[in-house]
Amino acid sequence: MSEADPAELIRAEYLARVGGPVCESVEEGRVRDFLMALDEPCDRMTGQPVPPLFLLTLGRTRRPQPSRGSAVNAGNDYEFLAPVYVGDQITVSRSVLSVEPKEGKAGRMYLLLSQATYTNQRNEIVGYSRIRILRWGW
Amino acid sequence: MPLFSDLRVGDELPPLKKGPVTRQHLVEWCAAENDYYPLHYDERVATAMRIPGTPIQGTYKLALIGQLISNWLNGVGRLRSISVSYRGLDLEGSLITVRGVVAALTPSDDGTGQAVIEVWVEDADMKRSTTGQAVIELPSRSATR
Repeated sequence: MSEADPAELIRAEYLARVGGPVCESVEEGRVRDFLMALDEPCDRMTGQPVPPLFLLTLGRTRRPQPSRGSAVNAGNDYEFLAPVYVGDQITVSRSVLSVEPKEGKAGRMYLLLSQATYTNQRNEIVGYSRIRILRWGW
Repeated sequence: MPLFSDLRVGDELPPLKKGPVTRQHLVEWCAAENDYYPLHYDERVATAMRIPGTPIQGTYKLALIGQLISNWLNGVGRLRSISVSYRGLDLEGSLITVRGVVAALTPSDDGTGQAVIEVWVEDADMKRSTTGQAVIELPSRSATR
């Protein structure tokens, strides 16, 4: 029996990892952690939108990590449509747009392109993101 | 505080210097972004990937670029989009500098405008490990009165 197409396995593994849409509260403590990790003062949080790139902390999955081979983040794109505030409920929906084979120093590699949509509690889309993940050693 | 009418192509944003970026920074960033990929705090994982040390997360460098822009905007204008590529690794212990320069200006009829900012992260040898661009929406002078 021939082995399944690695691109399809990578796509399936990624989708299994991120799962379906995830709804998260924008908690003040998490915004504070974000700012403190950047050595940024936290005293200007009250009534202000959270930093736009706080979106990157939402809908993340700690485990499992890739089952085999290696993975690195090759790039990120964000588009911000509306401000996000502490207390908002943001639903993150992810999809895989493509998995393309590439040739690199380590031989055959795969570039996975995934998109996320961020929607608030009023059903307004507040942003989009894309991530490019490079996989090799499959 | 930048105003669209005052900007010129080639203007530089005040650079943001960070480092040395320690293991504690990397672990704090794991907590902040809620992602604990062990490559960023476990040398065994890095060694298995033939990387000579634990690398700084790309998203940390992205967030630092966001910090560069928010410091520059100082509450005026807004970030509309940002796109970055991670072209090289910066390892734990690195001194890094985040920079930006105005690359294009597009005025609107109402006096406001969009600025495209070329952004990058460079190491102590001025080698760029992360490059990209950000699009900023800025007010005119009259809009801030």
